[in-house]
Amino acid sequence: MPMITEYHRPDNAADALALLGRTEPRTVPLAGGTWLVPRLGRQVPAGAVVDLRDLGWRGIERDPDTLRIGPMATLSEVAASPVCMALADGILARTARTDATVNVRNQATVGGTVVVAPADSEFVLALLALDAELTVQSSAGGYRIWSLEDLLQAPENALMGGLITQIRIHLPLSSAAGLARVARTPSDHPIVSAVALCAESRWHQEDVRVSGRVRIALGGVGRRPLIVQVERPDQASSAVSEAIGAAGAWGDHRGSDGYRRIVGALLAKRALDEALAY
Amino acid sequence: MDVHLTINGEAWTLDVRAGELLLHALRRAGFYGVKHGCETGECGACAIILNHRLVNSCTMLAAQADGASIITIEGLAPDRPGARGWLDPIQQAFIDCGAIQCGYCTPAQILAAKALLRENSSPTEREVREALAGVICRCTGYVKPVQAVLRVAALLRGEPAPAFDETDDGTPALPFPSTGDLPEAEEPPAFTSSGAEPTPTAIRVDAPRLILAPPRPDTRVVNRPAIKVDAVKLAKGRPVFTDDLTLPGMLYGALLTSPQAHARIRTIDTAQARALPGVHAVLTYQDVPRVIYASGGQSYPNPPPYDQVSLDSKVRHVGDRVAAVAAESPEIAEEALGLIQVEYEPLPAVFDPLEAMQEGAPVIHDEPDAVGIHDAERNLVHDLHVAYGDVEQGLAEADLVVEREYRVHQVQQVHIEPHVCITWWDEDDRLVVRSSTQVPFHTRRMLAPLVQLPIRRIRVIKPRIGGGFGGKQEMVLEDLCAHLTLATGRPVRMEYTREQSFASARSRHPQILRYRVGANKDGTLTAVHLHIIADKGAYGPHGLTVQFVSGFRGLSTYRAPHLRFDCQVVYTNKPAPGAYRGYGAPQALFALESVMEETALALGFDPVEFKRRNWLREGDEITMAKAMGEGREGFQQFVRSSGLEQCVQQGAAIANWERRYDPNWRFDPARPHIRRGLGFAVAMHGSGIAGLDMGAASIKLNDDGSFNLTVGATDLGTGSDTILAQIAAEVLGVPTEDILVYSSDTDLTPFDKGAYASSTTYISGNAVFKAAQEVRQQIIQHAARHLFLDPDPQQMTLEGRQVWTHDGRSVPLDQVALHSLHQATQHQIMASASHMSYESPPPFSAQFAELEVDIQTGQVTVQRLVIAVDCGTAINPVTASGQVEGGVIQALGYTLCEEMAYDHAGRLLTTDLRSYRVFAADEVPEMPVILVQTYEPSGPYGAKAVGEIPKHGVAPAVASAIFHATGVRLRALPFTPERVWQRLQEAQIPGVSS
Ligand SMILES: Cc1cc2nc3c(=O)[nH]c(=O)nc-3n(C[C@H](O)[C@H](O)[C@H](O)COP(=O)(O)OP(=O)(O)OC[C@H]3O[C@@H](n4cnc5c(N)ncnc54)[C@H](O)[C@@H]3O)c2cc1C
Ligand code: FES
Ligand code: FES
Repeated sequence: MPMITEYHRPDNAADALALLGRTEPRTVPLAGGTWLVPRLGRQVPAGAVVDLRDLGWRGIERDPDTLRIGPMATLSEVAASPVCMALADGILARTARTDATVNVRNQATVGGTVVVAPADSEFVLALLALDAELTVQSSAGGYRIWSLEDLLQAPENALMGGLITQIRIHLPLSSAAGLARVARTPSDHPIVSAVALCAESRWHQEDVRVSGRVRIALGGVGRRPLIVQVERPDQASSAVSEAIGAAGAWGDHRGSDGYRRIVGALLAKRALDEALAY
Repeated sequence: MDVHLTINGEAWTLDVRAGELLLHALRRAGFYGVKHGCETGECGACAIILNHRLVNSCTMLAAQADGASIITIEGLAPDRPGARGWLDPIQQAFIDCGAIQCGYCTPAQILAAKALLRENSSPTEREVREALAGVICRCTGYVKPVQAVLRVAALLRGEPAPAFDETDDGTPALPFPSTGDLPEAEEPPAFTSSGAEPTPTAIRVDAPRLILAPPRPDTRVVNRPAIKVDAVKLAKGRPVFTDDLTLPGMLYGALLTSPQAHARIRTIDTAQARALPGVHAVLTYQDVPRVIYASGGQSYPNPPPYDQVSLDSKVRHVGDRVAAVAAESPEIAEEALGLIQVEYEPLPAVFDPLEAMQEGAPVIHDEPDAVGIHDAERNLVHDLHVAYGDVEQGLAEADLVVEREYRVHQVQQVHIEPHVCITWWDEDDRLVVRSSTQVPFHTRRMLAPLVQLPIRRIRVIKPRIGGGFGGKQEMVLEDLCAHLTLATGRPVRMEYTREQSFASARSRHPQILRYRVGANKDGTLTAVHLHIIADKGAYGPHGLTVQFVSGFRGLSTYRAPHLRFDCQVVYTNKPAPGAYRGYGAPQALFALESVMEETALALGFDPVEFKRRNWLREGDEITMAKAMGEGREGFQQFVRSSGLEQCVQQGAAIANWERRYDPNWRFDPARPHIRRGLGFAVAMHGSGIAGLDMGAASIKLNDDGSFNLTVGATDLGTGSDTILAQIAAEVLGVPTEDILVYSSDTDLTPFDKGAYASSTTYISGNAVFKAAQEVRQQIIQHAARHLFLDPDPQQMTLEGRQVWTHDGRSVPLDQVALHSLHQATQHQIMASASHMSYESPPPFSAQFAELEVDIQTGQVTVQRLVIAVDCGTAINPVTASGQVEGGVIQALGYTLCEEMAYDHAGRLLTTDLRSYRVFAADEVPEMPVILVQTYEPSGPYGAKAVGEIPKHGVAPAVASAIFHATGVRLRALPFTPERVWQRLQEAQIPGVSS
């Protein structure tokens, strides 16, 4: 039972950030609550929450170049979004579904998921593979753009009481994605999981040849997701091996460190094969 | 703060605390249909519809919902004057399809269906499964809930759904759209028939197929599906569970548990906690009498050891009891726990039973007052040896001796309703204990000495139970709750968190099982020796009897002239295992079925043929029954009914077993890393504990010709109230709805030992049968004497709510009732009866598994589990098949994914339903159920048990299928990807490396 004493629901970002800037009581942002609420007053020793619901950060929109997702969009909204379903074989929509059951994804938000970024979130892997960027507004009011990859290195430092206000993906000309996983049961959260993306980049379309790129995000090997980017698929295998070799040791009762490394390389390959098959 | 909500169409303003969960706010407002099953958003029992979408109310603050429109189960078809008991079509479909067992998950499942159908009127089965996947059901295996949603969707679209009426030829109508035309088969299909691929079915949910072997009971109510007697209230989410009650002045109990695996409490300071406003009591070992006991809910005298006290100065596992608090709110209680200062003196701990038995290992029970520990210095709780014949001689005579070791692990019951109870003083100064227990009568007797009250001053009430599976055959927190009521004088409610359900409750015993099997070249067995080392965890409940069942079951399916069982039961610093559906049998039968298959293959036999040569047949003696009993004297037993051969034949046909002999079938050219396999196992169980288990029933006739049936038997969701009502209805010639069942309350219902050991149908059913027979006689006698001229009572019958003479005259039962109560020789027509049996007739099953192994990752995906069960007469084929489906899926969890894992310090790593995986609706395999009916002469209407047998065959059948797929034999459960992968690497089979 969360032992907080204050609940706030401001309708503008400035008020929200002002509340979050306080040190007494310790105040944290609340999105869907699926991660935070069970931990309030326990693992998260906060005395107050700021509910972001009325800030209006919920839309999923695209223009020719960019997909913009509001941090308060739920995983269900992503799963049902035609834009997300169309991009890269629908990898965002697909992983939003595999990450959580319907009653959770109706409540869990994109922003909350990115911040919590469990090592086994396939939705976060998909965002990483798509090279998502985030806008973070600090409590002082300034903005900073982070690549998701950088933000995940140390989310606490990146956020520092600020708020994610938008998630952005630069849309490739064309793209295909693949997902491969191993888990105890078909719908269980994965022990190891890989999302591969093959994209043709829009920024090079004036060039003589359209340039391609391959990004593979691997979860469950090391404490944080690994990300590998190469120009051509045939370069992927050695790059993945290198990334796995550099990852810190990590395992749990579902899979040892050694198993995760070996299976990680295999699943990266399977995900890439699936992407290439499209 | 005020929160404005529209709940079920009505405007509500709730005054909530900033941190109050929506779940608690709704329950506080009286919406008890919103259930608590965990704290982390993983079980879905708390799900509600919020602004048209299904969400969990336990991971949301009430304040977050401000302004929202909420639908709870109470809002689907609210009871109104003149319209009580009306039902939403989804509720109706759940009832009709038998989709409700304990009913604890039912409100959320129905709401999940409601939210789905609002958006999608024509869902596919896959979409239905996805919609239900967030609501875990531990009882049904999801077969019937999915069927219910598909059915109601069809009905709501205006499509005809199959009628539930009895079919023309009088065979039981099954309330499911049958996928085949097989409700009854005269001749079993040939064992290795056709060779055709199975035709894919449009709807994956199979109806239970009933295969009836003569003699078929000539019945009108029994052996037919009847709606569960508690279905309506459960479908409507009425407040029927222990916690659905708030008493004036009620306090909230909470338990402080040990962070240490083994330690003495050097000091414990409760001053700060006691000083916290709102705290009414803090109890430690210094505050409660030291009375030694055994917590397992078993018959008197409880089997040893007596090695527990309510609160102790020593802790023996992480999660062990340290202190209990009662406070005015759950939040204050939790805060108070944090203020209790405990200084521990850590002691060396031991987690492996083999190490714990060694000299010099830490002594876990060094207290002088423990009773009945075999050798406390060596942590040896029991040292058991039972022999029949001379095993060494039998092994010496064998052509071949196969020696194998198997390991089985610790798993938890995961009933969705946690352990919960409420205690209070009543107006007569008697202690009332309202508890979610499988054993109300044992609990009353066992509680009395702990709270130092005579039994007569304790009343235990068991309302509906949200699943138990053996976990509630245990006094887990009733004593602490009662101590808090004694200390405060107030009603106290206490409930486990999900984490405590794992770390501070019971589980299945892990074991190491070593078999030595002697066999001759002709395929006969000469001797079987089973040696078990069992991990008892920190305390002894059920340790003796579970291990005896392992030994008995592990040496009973197959005939052999020489048998021996040796067993050491060993303490470790882990949460104590106890009773879990199947007791010791799933452990033993995994090992037994595996070793028999290995022996067959070593001899060059087809495993099915080898097993068939040796399994028990009708007329055979179950030799170990006399030698072993269950921790006490045993009785000679014979198999009087067996449908095992039929089970194997029918199951094999449905499983397309002949593919096992086609080497090409194992490979998929499109997926070179996949291997397919088919596996097989048989199982045998019992029906109650012979010579010990007793159940009683009482029946009385009411003015309108209805009957009250009161039983001590505890329906924990299995449908036992319903089948007991069916038995009474059959004898008394009335429909089931004329029987008003009540269970159980130690003040109001006769004794029953409780719901365990597969005994309710067989033992309590026989008690009901006898009581009903007696009432029937009284009705006939009264009618013969007063209401007919010249009748022959010997030839009178009860049928269609009437008493009939042989020449066709009749009087309605209500007239008999009114006449006997008010008009002549006034008396109450009523009777009670008890039943105990020296027999425990075995149900049998044949289990088939079809699966795929990814040889590069080790992931095993089970596609299909076919099971054929001989449970004698299925009193209610729908509840019987529901038991089987739920049991099979629990067993699949045991086999593949469920596991209590610890770190090096004995801390449980699996304390929630994310780290501890149980199967969800969108990932269970196809699961056809075949009920092969036999007639058990000693059972009511020929019935045997069905509750536990489905747990036994899955693990060995899956192991058998993995062996078929890969050639690799797995001897340690569970078959998680890495374990399988490891064995595949060791075996170096081609293709395992990518
Ligand atoms: C039953 C269940 C199953 C789950 N299964 C999976 C799974 O399989 N895989 C998986 O990866 N995850 C899983 N999750 C975790 C899930 O992904 C997270 O709980 C969820 O995504 C968090 O989103 P939320 O909106 O509820 O965030 P909240 O719980 O509200 O917040 C999460 C954190 O993010 C912060 N935060 C939220 N929004 C912002 C913002 N805009 N700016 C800055 N900080 C912010 C909060 O302060 C908090 O620290 C599961 C959760 C549950 C309950
Ligand atoms: S009680 Fe809410 S999900 Fe378990
Ligand atoms: S009926 Fe679903 S949990 Fe019991």
